[in-house]
Amino acid sequence: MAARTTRSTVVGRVSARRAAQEHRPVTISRWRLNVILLLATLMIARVAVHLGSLQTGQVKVEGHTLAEMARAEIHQQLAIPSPRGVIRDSKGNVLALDVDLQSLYVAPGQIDQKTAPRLALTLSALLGVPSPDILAAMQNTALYQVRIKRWLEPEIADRVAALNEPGLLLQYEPRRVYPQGTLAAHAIGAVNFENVGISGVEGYYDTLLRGSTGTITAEVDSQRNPIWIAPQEIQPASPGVDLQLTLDSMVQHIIETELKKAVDEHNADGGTVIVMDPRTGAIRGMASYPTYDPNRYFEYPAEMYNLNPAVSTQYEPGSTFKIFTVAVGLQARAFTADTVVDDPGSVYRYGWSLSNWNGGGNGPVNPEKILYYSSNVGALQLAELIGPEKFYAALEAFGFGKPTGIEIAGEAAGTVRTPNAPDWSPLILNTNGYGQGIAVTPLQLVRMVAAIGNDGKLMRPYIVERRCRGNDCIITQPRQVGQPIEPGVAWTVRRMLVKSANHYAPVVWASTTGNYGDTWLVPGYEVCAKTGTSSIPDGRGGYVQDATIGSVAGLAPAEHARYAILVKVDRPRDDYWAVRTAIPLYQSIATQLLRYERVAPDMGLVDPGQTVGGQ
Amino acid sequence: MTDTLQRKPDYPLLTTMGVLVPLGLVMVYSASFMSAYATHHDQLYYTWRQLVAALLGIGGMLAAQRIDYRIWRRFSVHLMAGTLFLLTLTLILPESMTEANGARSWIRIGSFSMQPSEIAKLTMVIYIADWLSRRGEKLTNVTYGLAPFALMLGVVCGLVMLGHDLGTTVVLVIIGGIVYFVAGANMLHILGASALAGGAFWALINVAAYRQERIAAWIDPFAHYQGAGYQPVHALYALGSGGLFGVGIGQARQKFFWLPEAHTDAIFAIIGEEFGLLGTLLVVTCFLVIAYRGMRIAGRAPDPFAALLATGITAWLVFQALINIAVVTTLIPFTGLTLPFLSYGGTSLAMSMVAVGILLNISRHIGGGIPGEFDESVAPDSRPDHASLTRRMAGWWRNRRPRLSGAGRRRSAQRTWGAIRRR
Repeated sequence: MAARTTRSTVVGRVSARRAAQEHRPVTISRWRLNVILLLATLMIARVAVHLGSLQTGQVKVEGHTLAEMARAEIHQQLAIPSPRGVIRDSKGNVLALDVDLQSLYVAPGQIDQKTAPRLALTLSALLGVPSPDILAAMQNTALYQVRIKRWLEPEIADRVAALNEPGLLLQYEPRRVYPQGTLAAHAIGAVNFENVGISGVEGYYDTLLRGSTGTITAEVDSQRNPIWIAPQEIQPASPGVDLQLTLDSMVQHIIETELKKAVDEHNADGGTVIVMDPRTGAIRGMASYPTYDPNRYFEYPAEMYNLNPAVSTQYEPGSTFKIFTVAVGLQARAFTADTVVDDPGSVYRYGWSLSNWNGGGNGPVNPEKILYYSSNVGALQLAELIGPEKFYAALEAFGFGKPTGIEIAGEAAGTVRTPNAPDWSPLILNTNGYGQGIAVTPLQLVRMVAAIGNDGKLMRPYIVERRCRGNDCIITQPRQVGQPIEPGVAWTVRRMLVKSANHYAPVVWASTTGNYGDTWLVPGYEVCAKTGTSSIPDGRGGYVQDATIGSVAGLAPAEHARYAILVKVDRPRDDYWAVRTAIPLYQSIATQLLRYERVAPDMGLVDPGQTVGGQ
Repeated sequence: MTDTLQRKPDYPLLTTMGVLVPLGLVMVYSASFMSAYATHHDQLYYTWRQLVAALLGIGGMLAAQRIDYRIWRRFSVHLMAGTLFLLTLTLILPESMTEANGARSWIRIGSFSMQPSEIAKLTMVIYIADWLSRRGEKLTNVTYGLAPFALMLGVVCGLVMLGHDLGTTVVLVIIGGIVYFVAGANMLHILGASALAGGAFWALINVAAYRQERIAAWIDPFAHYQGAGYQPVHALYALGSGGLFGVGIGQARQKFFWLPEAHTDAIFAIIGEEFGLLGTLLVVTCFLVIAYRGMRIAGRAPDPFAALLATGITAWLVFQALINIAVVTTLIPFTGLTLPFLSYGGTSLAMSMVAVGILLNISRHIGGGIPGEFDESVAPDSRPDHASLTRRMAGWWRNRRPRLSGAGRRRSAQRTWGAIRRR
C-alpha cells in the first residue's frame, strides 16, 4: 500500500493540491531513497573488496604480508638480564654491587611539541642536563626512544614521575655501585657504561661476574611483556659469580690512610703499598695513591682507572733487591754469611765507575753488612761471585720477568735482561746485583720478600678468596709455585734483615729517644726491612737526576711472618734519598698491622724511650 | 501512547540486531579484558557496563517498537532543546567531567557517564524529519528551506565541533544531508551545500596540525609508524593476521596493548583478527541488511515524517558503521567514531537500539497507509502550535489569510483524520 503510494507521487501531489490549494504536500521520491541505498551498497561493496584483499594476504608492505609483519613485531626474543656478581672483602663487607636505578627516556612521538621547550627547561633544572640537548632529543621524532639521562637519583626520579608527562619513560637499569668509594679502588677496578669491567678484579673476572643473559622467546604485548595466551620458551639466565676478595678492609684502610699522609706530607707524586700473607700469597691490602672513585671513574684521567700501579707499573727496585742477591748467593753456595768483600766506595767495571749511594766506602763487608750499609759495591761483587748463569736462573725461579698471575687486569711482566738478550753486557749483572738495570712490579718484589718469610716457598699471589655461584663456591687454594731457596738460607737472610731494619730505626725514633744508634724499628717485635732508593730511568739510557723512588720491603714479624709489606713512594720532593719518607711509613703500617693482628709484643724488644704500639 | 497495532515488525532487521548485539558484547569482552585489567584491575569492567547498556538498549528497543512513532513528533522540539542543553553542558562543565581522549563529549557524574552527542544523533533525526516533513514545496526555497535547515544543522554540529569531536560532526552532516536530499531538496542546493561542507571540512583539517598528520598517516601509515600511523598500522596488522577464518575467539594478539582503542573505535579490527574475513563480511552484511531493510521501511512508510525518520536512522547507523570500518581498513583518514552495536560505549549502544526500535515501529505501520497520508494537511496535528518557532513564524507568514478561517480548517482536518482512522 505504502509502496504504491510513494510510487504514485504525482497522483498524491495532484490529489493534495485538490484537497488544499495552499498546502503543498511533502513527497518522498522513491528514486532518492534508491540513490541512498545504492550509495550505501556501493560503499559496502568497496569495503568488502578491500577487506578481501587485506585478509587474504594480498596487501604487502616491502614484500611482507601484514600477518608476517604483525608476527615479526609480536614474536620477540627478550633478554633476561643476569645481575653482575657482588664483590666482597674477606670479612664479607660489600665492595661492589649492582643497584637498579631509573633512567629517563623520552618518546618523541608522544611529546606535545608545542610544550616541549617548557618541558625541556623543567627537566634541565631537575637533571642538570642542558635544555637544548633535551629539546633536541624530544624533537627527534625519527626515533622511538631517546635516552635523556641514565641512573637518576631516586628523589629526582620521583619528581620526574610526578610531572606525569606521557612522553617521559622511567626504566630501571642496573648500575654498578661501590659503597666504599675509593677503598681498594685500584684492586677492584671499575665497570664502564656498557657494564664491562675495565680494570682490576672487575676487568679480570668480567666474564664470570657478568654471567650469561637468558632469553624468553615469546609473543609480547606493546610493553614487551610476554602475553599469557601464547606459550613461551624460557632459557634462564645464569647469574654472575659473586667474588670474595682476600682484601681486609681494615688493613686496606690502614695502608691507604698512611700512604696518603706520607705522599701528601712529602709532596710526592704518588705511592704504592702492598700487604701480602707470606704463608699463602693472599693479598691483604693493596693501595696506590693518588686514587679514584670507581663510582665516578669517568671524571678521572684514563691512566688512573685503567692501571693498578701495584701490578701494572714497573720500576727499578734499587737496594731492596740486595735481599735477592744475598739470598741467591747463599742458596747457590757462591759465598757464605761470613764471606767478606772489600767496599772502597766505588769500583770500575767495564769502563764504568760504580759507587755507593754516598760514594763513601765501608771497608771489608760481609753479606750482613752489605745489607746493613746498603753497599752497592759489595752487592755487585756478590753478584759477580754468583755468576750470570745462577743469578739469572734464580731471577726466573723467583718469577721476575713474567706476570705473577694475580687476578687483576693489566698485570705487567717486568723487564729482565738475561745474557741471551742482544743488549746484555756483564755490566748489567753488576748493576742488577744492587737492583738497577732491572724492572720489576711492586707485586713481584713483595712476593720475593714473602718467600724469604715463608722459608723459601714462593707462592702464587691471589686476591680472590672464593668464587660463588649461588651457594656453590670455589675456594682458592694457596699454590706454591717453587722453592728457590732453602728454609735455612731464608732464616739467615731474615736475621740479616732484622739488623738492617734496626739500623734505620733512628729515622723514626731518634727524635723521641735521643739515641742515634740502632734500636728496635717496631718496639716489641723483630721485623725485617730493607730500604731502597731507586734511580728512575729517563728513557734515554740514563737516569733522572733529581728524583728517586723510595721504598721499603720487609716482613712483620720476622719469624712466622704474618705480613710481607712493600711501601713505595714515588719522587718525594723534600727527600732525595727517600728513606726518611718510606721508613716512617713502613714503621707506622707495620706497627698498626701487628696491633690489628694481635701479635703479642715481646717486652724484651723495647729500648729505653720507646713505647710499644706507638711512636 | 502505546501502539495497539497487531502487525509484525520487520523480522530481518530484528534478526540483524540479534546477531550484532550479542556479537558486540562478546567482542567487547574479548577486546577489553586486557586494558580493563590494566586500568581498572577488573577484566570485566567494560563488559559489565556494556552489558547494562545492552539490557537498557533491549528494553529501549522493545519499548520504542511498541510506542507509536508519531509520539516522537510531538516531542521533537523538547527533545531537541534537551539535546542542545546537554551539548552545551559538555562545553561549560569542568573538563574533569567532560573530557576523554582530547574530545569534550562526555558528561560524567560519579560512575554514571553519557555522551550527549550520541543522543544528539537520534534527536536531530527526529527533529529534522518532523521539520522537513512540514516544509512541503517550500523545501526547495532557499529562504524557507535550505537556510533555516543549514542554520539548524550548523548549531548542532557547531556545539559538537566545539567539543573537538570531528567524527560525530561528520556523521551529523551526512545524516542531515541525506534526510534533506530524500525530503526532496533541490539538487543545486545539495551540490552547493556539499561544496560548502567540503570547504568547511578542508578548513577544519587545516586548522589543526594533528588532523593534517592523520591525512599524511592515511596516505602511508607505515611511514608514520611512531606517530599518527601507529593505530592504522596495528588495525591493518590485526585484519591481516586474521586471514580467512581468524585466529579464534579470544585469541587476538593486537588487543595486548598494540592496537589502541581495541574495544571502542577499533573493535572491527579485533573482530577481523579473531573471526577473519568470515567475521568481517558477516558484520558488513549485517549493515547491508540494515541499509536495505531501513530504506525499504522508509520507502513504504505510512507518512513523510516516518519516511524521513526511517531514512535518517538508517543513514546514521549505516554510514557511521561504514566510516568506522573504512577508518579501520585505512580507506579514509582516521577519525574517532564507534561502530554501532559493536563498539564499547553505553550511550551509543542504547541510543542505536532505541533508534532501531523506532524503525521497527514504523515497519509495523507499513501497509496501513493511504495516499492521503502523504498530505501534510491531513497529518495528525496534535502538537501545540507554538511548539516550533520556525514553523510558527513560517506558518504565520504564509497563512495569514487561512488563519482567519482557522476553525473551519481544523474541523476539516479532523474530519479527514477521522476518516483515516475508520479505515
